[in-house]
Amino acid sequence: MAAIEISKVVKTFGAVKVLDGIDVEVKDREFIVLVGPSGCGKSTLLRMIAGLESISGGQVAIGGRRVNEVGPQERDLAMVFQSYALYPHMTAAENMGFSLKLRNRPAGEVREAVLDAARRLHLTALLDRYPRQLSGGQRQRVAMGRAIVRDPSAFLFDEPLSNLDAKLRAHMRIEIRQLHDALGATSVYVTHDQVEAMTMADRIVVMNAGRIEQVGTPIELFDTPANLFVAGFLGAPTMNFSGGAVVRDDAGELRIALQVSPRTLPLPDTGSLDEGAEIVLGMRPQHIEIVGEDVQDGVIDAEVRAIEQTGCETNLIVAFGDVEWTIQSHHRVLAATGDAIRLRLDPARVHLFDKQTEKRL
Amino acid sequence: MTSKARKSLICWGALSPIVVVILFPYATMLSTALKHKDEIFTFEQTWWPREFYLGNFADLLFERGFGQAIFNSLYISVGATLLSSAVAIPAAYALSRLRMPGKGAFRNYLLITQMISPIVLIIGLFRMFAYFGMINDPHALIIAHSAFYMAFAVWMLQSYFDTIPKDLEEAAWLDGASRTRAFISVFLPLCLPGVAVTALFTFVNSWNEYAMSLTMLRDASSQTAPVKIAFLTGTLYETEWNIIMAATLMATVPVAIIFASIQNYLVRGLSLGGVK
Ligand SMILES: Nc1ncnc2c1ncn2[C@@H]1O[C@H](COP(=O)(O)OP(=O)(O)OP(=O)(O)O)[C@@H](O)[C@H]1O
Ligand SMILES: [Mg+2]
Repeated sequence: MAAIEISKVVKTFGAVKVLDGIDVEVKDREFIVLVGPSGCGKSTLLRMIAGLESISGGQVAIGGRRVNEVGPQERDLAMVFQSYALYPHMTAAENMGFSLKLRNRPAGEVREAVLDAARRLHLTALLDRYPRQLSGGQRQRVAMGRAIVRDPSAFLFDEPLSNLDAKLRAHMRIEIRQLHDALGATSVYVTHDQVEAMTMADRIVVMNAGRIEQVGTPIELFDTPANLFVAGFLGAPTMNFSGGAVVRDDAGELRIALQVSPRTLPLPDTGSLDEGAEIVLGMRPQHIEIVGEDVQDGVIDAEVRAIEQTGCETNLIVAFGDVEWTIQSHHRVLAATGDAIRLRLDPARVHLFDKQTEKRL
Repeated sequence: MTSKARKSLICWGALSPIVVVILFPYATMLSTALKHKDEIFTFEQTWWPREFYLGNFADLLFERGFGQAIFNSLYISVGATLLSSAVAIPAAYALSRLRMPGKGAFRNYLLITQMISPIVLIIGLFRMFAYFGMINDPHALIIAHSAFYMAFAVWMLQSYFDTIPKDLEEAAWLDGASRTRAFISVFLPLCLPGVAVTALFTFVNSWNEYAMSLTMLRDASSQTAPVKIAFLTGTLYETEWNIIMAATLMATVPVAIIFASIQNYLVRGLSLGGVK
């Protein structure tokens, strides 16, 4: 296994720049997830690591060796494609053994390696089948098997689970992560599913429009998103936002005035804000508390627009002024559409962003 | 009667006029080819010959050198098919897979060449081959035929190649296969139906081609089957229908047999993209 260093990588298709100065360092044995909205360049970056796409600028190094000019054959990487890309005219066993056969390993050794991989992936009974005789989940496993039979420097995954149903996806998430740990592998995993990103990654790279927005562990990104984009991208339901400004109250204290709420909120101690600063306030749906009329400080009065019961949690869509927020509560909330409701925002969990730069304050 | 049987009965009923139109020439050919010369020019025509007379074929093969003509045709058609495949497969692969400037223009150019009738070019071709001393040389026709049918072959193969996912080759490269190895081990097996259909089209076109063969091959011994048949009609005092029909039968049956035997492949190859 090996580390992958991506420095100042640029990719242009004709006049269009799709990647603009990407810097990522994948450490040895690390599981890195690239996430971002559709078209942000995740697959392009992965394919550049794999050698399937030329590198317009910058450098990619695998295990300390610059590979910009090295073909995909010589980079010693294994890739699992979204379409699985199994060879239709070969059986599962032949698919898995192909890479070893190309390296002229003796037939016995190839068979052993294939059997070993098949045992890990519970494929032993399916080895003689052709891809068209396998279900989607089984094909996915064969594609995984093809990647693990030889011992590559790193694994690359391009949305490998997006064609599976929700239940199987949840199962394979765990299985891929366990496999990664068991093999001591280095993995780069592309997805647009933030649950996969949060649950599987050692570190997440959030991309947007060809740039990196933030790199960090899942918890870092969730608790301290660096900017509005990351804050809105990770977490479900998505974070609530409202514009506001810093004001000084009668007692001379700095407080937050939201545009559409007559009450002010206490200002978390960021130290850098002055009166008149324009901000965007962000609040995760899980961190908003429903309180009674007796609570006076740090609250917002809103009206219930809709209620969704999922069984274990309740989602409330509430509105104040023209702002709509989502609240998630683990208690059964007894409220009806149209009810007035009072919300308390935990000051410790308020996220503040600069309105102009959209950066975290 | 089950509804399925009724359905197929109706289908066959509707198709029968077409079947008759297609089969009538074959029936005439077969019936005439198996008759003795005397039996053809009688007043009352019968479909069924009095006896199955094979003398016409023997006459053709041993007296009139038709075997040689069939061999010439076969040699030229197989040669043209191989040569045009050898050039068209890499060309189509490049058009389908590689990033090249002017790809669209080249495709259009190929299409435009198909709009020119070969007849227009025959004088020029004749002079060219005469210059190279290749008149009466079957290789001249192999070159000319493969050149003429190549544009179509490239066009058709490219359409087929475009339907084969690029992922598969990329996966092979990552597995460690060189471009050539991935082409041979992964790509070629998957595009075989398309290649077979294209090769067959080239073969049949070359087999049936008349005008160029007539022009380039002047010797009786180097003539191809279609030309030879045309020459059989030209006796001064009589038209030997029995011989002509035997010859046409021998010239068309091999093609029909090839078509029928790879019919499955054909359907698969023609329904481009339907291969999953
Ligand atoms: N061969 C190409 N030629 C021109 N533009 C391309 C090419 N391949 C990709 N692009 C463009 O590059 C951008 C990034 O594409 P990419 O496939 O990397 O997105 P992605 O992040 O993987 O999206 P998705 O989540 O939908 O797979 C897109 O805007 C796309 O249109
Ligand atoms: Mg993608």
